[in-house]
Amino acid sequence: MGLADLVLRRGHLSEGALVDVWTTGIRPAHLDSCDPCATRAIELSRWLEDVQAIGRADADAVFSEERLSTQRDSVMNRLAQLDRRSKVISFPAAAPSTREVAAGRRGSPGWLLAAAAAGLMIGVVSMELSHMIPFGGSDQPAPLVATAPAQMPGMDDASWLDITYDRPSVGGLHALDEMTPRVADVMLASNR
Amino acid sequence: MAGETTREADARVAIDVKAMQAAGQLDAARERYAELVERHQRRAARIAYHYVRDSADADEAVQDAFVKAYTHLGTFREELPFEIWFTRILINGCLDRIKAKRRRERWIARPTIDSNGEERDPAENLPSRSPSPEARLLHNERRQRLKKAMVQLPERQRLVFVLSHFEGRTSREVSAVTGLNESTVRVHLFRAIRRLRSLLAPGAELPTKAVGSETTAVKGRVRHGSR
Repeated sequence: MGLADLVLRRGHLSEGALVDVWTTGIRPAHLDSCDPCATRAIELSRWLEDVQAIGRADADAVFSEERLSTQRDSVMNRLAQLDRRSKVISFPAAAPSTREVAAGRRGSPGWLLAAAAAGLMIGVVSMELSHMIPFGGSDQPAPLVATAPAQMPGMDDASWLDITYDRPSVGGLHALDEMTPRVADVMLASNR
Repeated sequence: MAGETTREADARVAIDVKAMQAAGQLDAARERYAELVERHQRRAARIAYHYVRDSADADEAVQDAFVKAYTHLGTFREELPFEIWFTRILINGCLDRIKAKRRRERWIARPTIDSNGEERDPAENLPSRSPSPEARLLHNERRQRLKKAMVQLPERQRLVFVLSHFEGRTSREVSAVTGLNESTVRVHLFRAIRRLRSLLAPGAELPTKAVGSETTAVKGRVRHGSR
């Protein structure tokens, strides 16, 4: 008997101690000498037995033998499916473990980044090379501004334009471009 | 085998199943494992039913636990009783279901409530074993009261009460299953009994409260190997 039982309960056992009697099966000597505590212990054990019986009957009514049998069949079917599935997956080579799969998933963004960086580098280098190597395989860069209209004597603007449209060349198109008014220039002129 | 305890028999079956699984004799392994299922099924169903308070959920939780135990049998160590190891798996599964149910019920009305606002008991549809209509009525009433009172218990208290009282486990065994220490188990058990006695006292009004609306939070899953 604890100090609390002696002081607070005037020597009688607490309910916790009575529960311990029920759960452990160890009967304290006090119960043999104290009728009120023995009565309480009996009353408590009856109540606990009653609750136990009701609780078990409740669960057993829901889980009848038939239901348990069905449940057992379901479990065995699920296990059979699992075993069959594992056979198929592991043949002919061993299936990758979950860890390997997870590691592979974690690794994939790195590969993507590397591939993207390589693609970018190739793009930049190609662009630089395209500026350095001229079209047509000639060592000399092609003149950006070719023959000017002034170098063609005896031609007015209209006939020069006809030639340019009939035989387009880079120099001719540049000259044509220079003659064409810009939208920005027109806008500026109209604002003034 | 003569004189063999349930624990020893379980361990022998578990070792056999592991060996058969390793050897690729899967049909034989399943056949042997069926012995364990049959031996522990009723107890598992009772625990799950009292813990999750729903027969369909309990049914699925038990099935899942047996499947999981079979697939993870390689991690089972013989120094721990199979029953304890398996009950941990079962309880963790039940806990997951309770949490999932709680999440679901935030959005969906509970289907187990009838038109009178009472929780419907699936067992009511089953034939009773009571001999007379009066006895059946009384039995049903007591069962309903106990069920409602059990729902009022915080989850840990309910779990400890179910394992200790309905399944007759010792404090040490409950401690091994739940990961709580023995003195905590005894405290939970005592509090559960005290609360149930007050709730089931003659004339006491039982408040309606669903499993999913409990105020006591579930602290976490049972950790394997923790004591």
